[in-house]
Amino acid sequence: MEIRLKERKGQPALFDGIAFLLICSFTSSIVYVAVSNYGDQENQAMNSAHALNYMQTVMKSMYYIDASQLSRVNDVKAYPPDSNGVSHIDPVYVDLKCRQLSQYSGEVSVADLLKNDLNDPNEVNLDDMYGNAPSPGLTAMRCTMKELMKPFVLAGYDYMMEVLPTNCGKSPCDPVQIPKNSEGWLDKITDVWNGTIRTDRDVNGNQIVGGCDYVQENFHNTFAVSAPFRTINLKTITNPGGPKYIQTSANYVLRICIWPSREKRDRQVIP
Amino acid sequence: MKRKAFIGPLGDDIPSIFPIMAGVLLFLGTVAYATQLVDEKNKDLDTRRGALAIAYLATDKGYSDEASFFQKCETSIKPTALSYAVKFAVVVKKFCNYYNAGTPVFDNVTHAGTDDVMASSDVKGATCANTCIVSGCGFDPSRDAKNSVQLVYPTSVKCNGVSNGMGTITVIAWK
Repeated sequence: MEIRLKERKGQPALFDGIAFLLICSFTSSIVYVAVSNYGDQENQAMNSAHALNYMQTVMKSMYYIDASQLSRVNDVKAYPPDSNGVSHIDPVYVDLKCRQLSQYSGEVSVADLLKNDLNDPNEVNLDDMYGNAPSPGLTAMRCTMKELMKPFVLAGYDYMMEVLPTNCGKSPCDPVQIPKNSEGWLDKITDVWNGTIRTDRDVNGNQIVGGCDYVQENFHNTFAVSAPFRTINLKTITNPGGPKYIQTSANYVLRICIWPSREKRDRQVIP
Repeated sequence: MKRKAFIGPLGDDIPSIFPIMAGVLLFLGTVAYATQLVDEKNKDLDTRRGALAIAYLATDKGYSDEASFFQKCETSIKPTALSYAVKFAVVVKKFCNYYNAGTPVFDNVTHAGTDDVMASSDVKGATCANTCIVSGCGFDPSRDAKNSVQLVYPTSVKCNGVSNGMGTITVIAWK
């Protein structure tokens, strides 16, 4: 044995060198892993800030955009098929009937139509009516959201918008109801039409699961923005001494939520 | 016969120099690369922070008119960009009755396609920037600036001098 050690005097130093190389390699791999994750959290925070700011801007724009400017949104006549007969209309939205908004020329904004729709003296719901007169607030909201939420839809997100009362005696309130039309499925302000979002009553029949509440419970990476929305209604009361006017107000909350879509939809969307 | 050592006490350590040098070079190279990567990420994050700060100012209202836009440009947007040390351009585009995200930022017409009945001119509205752009120096930061950040937001703009239609505010920031 002693002879063998004398013959192999260089081996301990070589072994130390290789051990040093292994330690350096291990340290380098730790550094690479650490650097690859650097800035991810701040990046995510800034993405969230951008998305929230965008949705807040959508809500602010609603108060200024005139309803008549939306009359050509998703209009089949405005987007005729090309020379090969291929239609480029967005099949997901079908026909939102935005062209009826062209009659509201002048400075009638989307928010004005929505307020009239909510102030319906018969029943508070979004049915495009104010009493017996048309007031397409719901349609104006759908057309607005279809255009303004386009970047998120193209990026693979779904969205939903709802109107929540604030004086229902419980928290949170159920969203203002949207009666289903004859087709049975255009009853939400959203780009999701296949029933993914539930807004029905629960098994007890007492509580309606809000669209955005359902989204936040069942989807990941959701964003939601709420803004106050106040309507003022002037009512005329017949009085022996002459007509009397009473001003009432109702407070609502507009809420928009977005979430990554789970659907693969084949759509041809005009940018 | 007895076999003696190859070189000597010092010479026997020569082969170990190679893995030691390789380890040192590997470690120093990794540190240098990591430092460069962190600097690049920091630069990108700084640019994004600057773009977001400018965007918050540009989108404080849901309506954009030229007079208040240019006033905001001089009084708040430019100083903010200076504090973040970023070059920037904020462009308000008027689409009025539709929203075309594919239109190049500094073009005055929409390029939705020759058969698109919605194509229109006079899309480019007001521009606020702290450096020469497009016609000034032939430089389009939305395409040519390395690591530029582009954020787009909706807004309302005056259309045909009468009604308010849809528009966009595009914020571009770069170092």
